[in-house]
Amino acid sequence: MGRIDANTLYGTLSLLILRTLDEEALHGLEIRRRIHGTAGDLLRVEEGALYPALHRLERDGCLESEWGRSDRNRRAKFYALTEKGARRLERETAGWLEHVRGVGAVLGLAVAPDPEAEATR
Amino acid sequence: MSWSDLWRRLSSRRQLTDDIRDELRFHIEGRVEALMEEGVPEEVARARVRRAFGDAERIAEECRAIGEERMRRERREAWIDGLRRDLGTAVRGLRRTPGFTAVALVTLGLGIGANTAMFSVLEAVLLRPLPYPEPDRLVRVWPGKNFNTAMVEAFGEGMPSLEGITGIAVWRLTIAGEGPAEEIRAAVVSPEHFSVLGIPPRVGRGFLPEEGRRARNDVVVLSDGFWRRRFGGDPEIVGRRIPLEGQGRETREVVGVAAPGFRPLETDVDAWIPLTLPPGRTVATDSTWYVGTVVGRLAEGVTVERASAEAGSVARELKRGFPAVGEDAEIRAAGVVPLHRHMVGDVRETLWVLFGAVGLVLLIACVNLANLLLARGSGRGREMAIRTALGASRGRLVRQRLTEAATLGVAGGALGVGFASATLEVLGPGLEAALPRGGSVGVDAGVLAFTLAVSLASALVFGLFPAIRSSGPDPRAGLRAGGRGRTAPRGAHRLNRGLVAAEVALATVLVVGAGLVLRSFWSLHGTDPGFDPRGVVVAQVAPPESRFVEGGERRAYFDRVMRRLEAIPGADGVGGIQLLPLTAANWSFPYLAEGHRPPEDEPLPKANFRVVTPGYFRTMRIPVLRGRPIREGDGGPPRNAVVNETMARLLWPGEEAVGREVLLFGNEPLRVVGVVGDVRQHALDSEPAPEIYVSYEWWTRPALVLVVRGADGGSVPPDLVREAVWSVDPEVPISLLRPLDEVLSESVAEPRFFAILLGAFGLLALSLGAAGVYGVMAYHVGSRVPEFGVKLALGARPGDIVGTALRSGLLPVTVGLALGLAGAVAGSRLLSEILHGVEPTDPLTYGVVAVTLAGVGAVASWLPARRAASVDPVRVLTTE
Repeated sequence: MGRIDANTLYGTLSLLILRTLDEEALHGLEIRRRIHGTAGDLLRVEEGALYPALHRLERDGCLESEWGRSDRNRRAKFYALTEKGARRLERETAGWLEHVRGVGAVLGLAVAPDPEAEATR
Repeated sequence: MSWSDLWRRLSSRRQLTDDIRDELRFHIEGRVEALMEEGVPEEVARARVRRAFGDAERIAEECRAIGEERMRRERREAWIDGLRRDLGTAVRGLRRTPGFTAVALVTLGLGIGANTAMFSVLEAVLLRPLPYPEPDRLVRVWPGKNFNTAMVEAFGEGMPSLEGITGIAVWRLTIAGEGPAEEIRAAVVSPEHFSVLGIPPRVGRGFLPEEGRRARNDVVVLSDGFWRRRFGGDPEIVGRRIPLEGQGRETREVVGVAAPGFRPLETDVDAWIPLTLPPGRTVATDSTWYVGTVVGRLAEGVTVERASAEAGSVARELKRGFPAVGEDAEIRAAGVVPLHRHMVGDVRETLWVLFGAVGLVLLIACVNLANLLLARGSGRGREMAIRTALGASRGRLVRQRLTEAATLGVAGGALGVGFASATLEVLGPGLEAALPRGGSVGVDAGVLAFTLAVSLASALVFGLFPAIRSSGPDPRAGLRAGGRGRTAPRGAHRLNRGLVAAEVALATVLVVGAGLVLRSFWSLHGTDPGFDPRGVVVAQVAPPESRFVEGGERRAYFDRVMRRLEAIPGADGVGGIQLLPLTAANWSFPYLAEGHRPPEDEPLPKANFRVVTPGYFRTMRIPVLRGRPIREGDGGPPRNAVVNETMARLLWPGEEAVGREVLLFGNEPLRVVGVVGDVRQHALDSEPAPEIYVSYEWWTRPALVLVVRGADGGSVPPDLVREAVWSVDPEVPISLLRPLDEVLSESVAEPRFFAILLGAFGLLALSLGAAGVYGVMAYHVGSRVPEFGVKLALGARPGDIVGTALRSGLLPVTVGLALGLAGAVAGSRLLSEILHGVEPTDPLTYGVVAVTLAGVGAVASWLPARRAASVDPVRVLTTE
């Protein structure tokens, strides 16, 4: 289980990107919109940091890219999750949860357990 | 990297930069558009987006760097992938031509295997350091000289450049009690023996300095093997007194057990006892002249030269006080020699010669393979052309051929290692007998690394030619109809033939060398030892000193034993001698002969000294040339002796030796009553020395080796001999019970071993050469079939065709043969040290080899050539 250092913007950002791409292939602008849309103002994503993160994930084999057409018919680069990426998503999600629970325990907070994880235990 | 690759790499880099720029621009424009749709004016929107986005240039740069990393990774993976595919193709290609692959693998396996085995031997014998700490500080003092104990001590004191010195002699001791009587080998050594060699006993201790004196010398250190075998590894062994007899003691206290595997140089011993100086003796009066080896350890930073000079001055000093220490020539030769060089010096040349031979074999094998691959490659010209047309780069094709060669190389290497291990297993005992340190030969990590290197190097050698050739030609030439896939430029043929000539030359050199060595051994083997060993069994019988204290008792014992032996049914003659011929030990004593004046400043001349029983000469069938052999009563008075032919000729040339007097030691008178034929006492290839034989009735001290001959050409079973000896006294140990034939055979174990090895290599070279010639000829004939078809159709006779084919094949063979013979003449000078009874330029050997190789080459050329004549012209002309 990988432990995610919440201080690493890169680590959290990668996780968010992988999760966002779990359903369908998107281009960078749309990825940003989705994250912003879901988390609202809870998360500030420096927009520019998105692209190095995307390229790193592609270098590591977690994403693959293809040039296509946006809904406004402009040329855009689309990213999709690979097998390797899906595995990494699973791993890092679990690790993130453990980390959060750990911190919460120290702080004396109750963090709701993951119902799925409970079922499989 | 070719120009097109470079172009491609540059352009993809530019592509990457453009893509990133497009991607970032899409994002920024999209955000601006979205804001404008919400009603934000354009400049404001742009400013807001730019702020939110960050430094676009920096981000683009970061992305570009990441992208390049990605491209590098992808390229690397593609390369590995390509390699893997090449490997697959190579293996498939090899499997499709199983005949070729099998021949190639066997050829390589044998060549590499022989090299590996040979290197293992070289490593164990020559290259590996001695198993003592700091072995290059160990030296042998005055090698070849026999010392007495006092002399060893004198050298120890007179050579400050040595931090320690030890004499080493080997003696036999008898152990009785708690088990059967057993004779063991013991090393008799100076007290600092263990510290000089640097490996202290594992249990207990070594010797103390005072234990080198008579009063305290009843101690012993056991060997690890002997301790376990005889005493069951008793942990309380130190301090125990054991009944060990010999060298003036009947019991000894065990003070230590040596480290497992520790040996004094190359001798296996069961125990160590201290070398003792009899009290009050000096160099002149000390009679313990049996210390044959003296080893010293150089002090820190001292050179061999300095130690050698010191040894020389000690020797000269000793001679001033005691002239009989040695002859002038010996004194001049006094010095020290590094121990390792001394131990392996004799076999060094032979081993390097053998290594050269295996190297040649491997080279021949590689040339063979190069030829085969060239032929095969030419036949794949079409395949190569298609690949090139489909876009394979030249580099790619070369890599593919090299992969194929490397696969063959590594597979051949693996086979070779297996072959080498098996060979070393089989040869094991032979190696041990024939070579110093021969027992420790094995395939280890260093040898495996060597094998791998050799395999890959061979692969490069034989793979490079075809690899470069195959990627050159213009694809259109190969694809054109009528190519038959077998087109090859004339240059390829010439290369093939050149390689064949080279191969034949190499093989010739090797076979000549092998032939010479074989002849040398044969001559050695056929040397007359001076006696007839067939049907004779020998038994060394050594009653312990305490058993028969009186000389008369000892003699009576041997008399009884010999009578029992004579009584064995089937025995036809019994005799005894204190030192068997061809067993390397020797006694030689100074003498003064009648009619000769003692030399002025020199010590008296020495003769080999032998003690025999009356039946000895007859049993061994040593001819009596004048007078009579030793018989009853020759113990005297008066004391009679028999001399050998060499001594008689040396002392009284042309005169009658019988009746003359010889003063042994200068003062013991002996009358010569007979002259016997020379016997090779030391080794078959060393000249006989002067020898004098006396009766055992007079000299009763030593153990005797009894010889028993069987009647009518048969031999007496050793068991009956043992029974007979023990029937007189069961507690007298018998060592060395075996047929004399075996002893003789063992004495030439080393030269025989080398002869066999070199012979095997010669045969290998011959076979490989023949296979190579055959293969190339077959290919050539095959490729000229269209030409032959045309000629036949135009009316040529089949005989002419065969003649043409044969001629083209025999030319390279002849050239190679000539070159090889010339090379052999030049190179065989290297062998002159090893050869015995045959010249390095022996015409018979060269002649036989030349004829054989020419014959083999002719047959190998003729077989395929014959097929050329049976070509059906119609079929040839109508097929494509």
